[in-house]
Amino acid sequence: MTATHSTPVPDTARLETVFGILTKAPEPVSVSKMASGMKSFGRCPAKQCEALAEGLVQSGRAHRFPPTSGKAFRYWAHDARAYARLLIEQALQAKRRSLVDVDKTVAKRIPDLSGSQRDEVLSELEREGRVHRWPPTAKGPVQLGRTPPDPREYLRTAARTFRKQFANVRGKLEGVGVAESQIVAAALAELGLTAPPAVGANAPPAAGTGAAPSVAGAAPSVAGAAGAGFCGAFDAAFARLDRLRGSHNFVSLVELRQALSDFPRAAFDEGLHRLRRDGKFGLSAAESIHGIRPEELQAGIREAGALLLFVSRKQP
Amino acid sequence: MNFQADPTNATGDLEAFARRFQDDNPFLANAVSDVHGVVIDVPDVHGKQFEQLIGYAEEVHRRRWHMGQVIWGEAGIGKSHLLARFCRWAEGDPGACCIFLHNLQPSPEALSRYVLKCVVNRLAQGRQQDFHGTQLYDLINRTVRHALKTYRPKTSRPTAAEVRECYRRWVDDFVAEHPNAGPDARAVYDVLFALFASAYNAKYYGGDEQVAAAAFRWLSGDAVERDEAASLRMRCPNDADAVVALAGSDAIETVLIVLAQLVRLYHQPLVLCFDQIDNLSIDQFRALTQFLHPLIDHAENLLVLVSGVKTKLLQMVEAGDILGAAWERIAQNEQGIGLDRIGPAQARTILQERLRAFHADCVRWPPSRERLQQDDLFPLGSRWFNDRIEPLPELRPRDAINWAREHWRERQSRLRAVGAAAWLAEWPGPRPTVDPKTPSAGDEAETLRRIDQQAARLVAEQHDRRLHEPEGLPPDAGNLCGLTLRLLERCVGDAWQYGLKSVRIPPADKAGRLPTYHLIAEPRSAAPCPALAITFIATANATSTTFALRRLVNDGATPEHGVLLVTDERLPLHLGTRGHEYLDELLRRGPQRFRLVELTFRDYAALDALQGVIGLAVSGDIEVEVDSSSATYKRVTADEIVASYHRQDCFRRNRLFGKIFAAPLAAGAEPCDGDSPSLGDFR
Repeated sequence: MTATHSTPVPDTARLETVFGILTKAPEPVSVSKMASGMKSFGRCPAKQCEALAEGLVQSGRAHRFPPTSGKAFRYWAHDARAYARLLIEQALQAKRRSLVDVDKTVAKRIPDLSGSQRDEVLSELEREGRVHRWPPTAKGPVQLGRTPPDPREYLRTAARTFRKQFANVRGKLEGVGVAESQIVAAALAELGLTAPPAVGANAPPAAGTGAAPSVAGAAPSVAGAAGAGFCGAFDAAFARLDRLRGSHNFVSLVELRQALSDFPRAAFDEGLHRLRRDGKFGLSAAESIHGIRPEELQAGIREAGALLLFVSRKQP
Repeated sequence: MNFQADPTNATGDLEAFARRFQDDNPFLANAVSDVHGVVIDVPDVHGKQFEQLIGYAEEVHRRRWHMGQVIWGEAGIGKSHLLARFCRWAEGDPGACCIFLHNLQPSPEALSRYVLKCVVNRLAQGRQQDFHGTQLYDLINRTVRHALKTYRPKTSRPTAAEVRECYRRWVDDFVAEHPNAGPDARAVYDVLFALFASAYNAKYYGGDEQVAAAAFRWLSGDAVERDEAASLRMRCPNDADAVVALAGSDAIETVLIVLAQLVRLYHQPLVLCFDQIDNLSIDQFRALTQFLHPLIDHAENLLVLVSGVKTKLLQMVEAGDILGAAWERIAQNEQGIGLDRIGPAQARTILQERLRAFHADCVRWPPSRERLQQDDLFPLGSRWFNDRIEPLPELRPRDAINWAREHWRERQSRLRAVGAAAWLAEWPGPRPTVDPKTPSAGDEAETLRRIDQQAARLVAEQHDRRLHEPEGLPPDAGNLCGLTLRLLERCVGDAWQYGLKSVRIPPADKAGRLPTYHLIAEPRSAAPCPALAITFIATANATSTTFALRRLVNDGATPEHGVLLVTDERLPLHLGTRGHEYLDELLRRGPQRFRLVELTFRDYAALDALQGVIGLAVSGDIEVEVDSSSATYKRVTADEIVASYHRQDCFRRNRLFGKIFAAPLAAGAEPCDGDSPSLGDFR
């Protein structure tokens, strides 16, 4: 606990280096990996690294995890819950997997983490929008994925059957002089759906639907942009971009203007002004460490002598 | 309406009103830089965020939990105002033990120790002795009473041995239940008890407080002598010259964990508030987050709040300048506590609050009372508000205050021009127009004058605040060195009559020995002035002082340097026999080669105030008006503040910097002017 100022304490330096390695490592590391990171101290045998890591575990600064192969334990500065988060996200990196599969993977790697703790970690990831639960299909179990459930995947089989039968019915009805538009309208009515916009119409997405920010295909007029269509598209674009940037509730106008490029500048500004007036979104000034880039200057809004560049969603 | 209808009554009222209006401007203050800087507060503005903060503080206490939260938003949005409001709430009941930290200047390696020192000094209310009655004493007292209640239910007066035994048992239980507190927890508790016992005996039995003083220094992160360590019942090194101090960040963390625990028994959470952390250098920021990461993980009953400009903090995080894991501990919620711009309605409430005191006087005089009844924004006026603020979807609180201040000035100017009676009769009067005599943005000299005026006012304000709260600036060589370095760096160059060629920290000794000098300042011309080596000492430890002086005496590598030894009057050089010998030898070298400057607290506060105002500029908190007609403001940069310091000769007027720039070490210079004491002064 105490030390003389004049006495160097090499073990403390080694201990801190090991701690640094365990903190920076993207996942739990083996003793041999730790040893290779200790080259600045000359040769540092694996045994010594293991002792240092165990010391950190004893003091609560690091955590020990079972071996993935062989007999060597692995160490990390982050706890079992953090590791479980990592494992779940890694498991879903390439494709969706069933909930049971994912849970088994985590339970196998971290046997000390109870079922309820695993559930908590999963719920946490779901709340953060990093993992999404896909409802079971007729044949498959509950799945987990990194993207929200895509309705088309669930409707594909039903749609295939419907298309076949619809083609058959349409042929018969057209043969007796019923107009195609009538047939389509009737089909939609039977399915309980409203008619889509007429081909070529530029109606913006419906307000408040949380529609995907795919503004491709939507080329609204200036007058329409300030209305509900802009609000929905802006809301969705903001949500998507904010998630991409770490969910700090902070998105640059440069990115938002790019994402909503189908809205002319005047329409965008007018729509945003209304959202600000309604207290839904707010702007804040450009205050970069590195100065303001030309594209930021271009995208920003000048107001009362300040260049406003970043959008935040206001607390309700 | 004719206010001259009854001249006999009206004249006195008019004069009184006019005097009151001309003498005041309730919108002068537009930034908060410390806990007590808030005079007027509107609870509705950022009220949700305030409730969030209280909720977090209560949660960490209730759940014996730990948490880090970031408060962020743009400059002028009200971050410091919110923290100040929170600190005022903390002073209430049940409140919280809130420690406000800002303008941290130590090197990254020394940052954690300085944070600890600030916390312990705040708890001890800046005292170096007479600890009875301080918050620190009360915390230990409460713990001792808690231990007695737990382990000795008898009501009779306990003996000293019983007190010690109960406390020991309580500590045993705590250490067993909290392995995360670290291996030093028991020693920290023992030293706290030693401080308590010594202060108690001094208060009630007239004992001295030497043990308490040593305990306080050790808890603050400073070194204590071997015999002092023995008096604190610590294991002592065999070397008679060795000193004992908290070793490393783990031990520092343990002291803070233990203090958080003591505060819990006081039924409050411990809250550490780091304001304007975007002012820290990248290395300092990294060091702070690395220190706070395990502290937040391991402490109970601890809330860490950091605040800064959101854009800058996110840029540092996204650039990978700090570890993601460390940042996640500090900002446990990615969105943090974000402060938004306010709407015109809230701006109106702020203005009304600021006008309240003025209105209280206005109702005493019938002419102004009538105007006030017509318009609750008198004398600014709702028309001005509707023209200037109402059309905006949102604005910063500071914008509303700045614009109101300028409009108030414009109204004052109009009153001077037309007289009080006519002014009231025509009120709200003609809409302001561009006055060709009013300086505008194009008038660079006028802008510089306003920057100078603003810089001088802020420095004086910051200086006063430090003088009122000396516990916020404890004596610390590392902080003083960092502060001096940062300000000297602003004097490198040849744009002024004086200045330096360079200033640097000497390279560290590979063998890990302590440095002889902390800074080397090279004058612009090599001759006749030699480079100046500066050493800072602020310790009550005679051994450390002796070693530092011995290093100066024995340094043969840089005889060409003049040496400036800087000390703090609150911790004057504590010299043993050998220390005296070394100091005598240094003084015998003459003022050309060695000088000693003992800074008063006023000197230190003046330096810190200079850097504090630079920090405000870095955070975007200083603005000056550049165009009166449109009330357009310019944000003053740190470089512009520094240039203003040079124009106003602020550096050379500072006592320490005056010594550095006055080249007294040049050959043939005048002997020392009183700073260097005679050989007898230290005996």
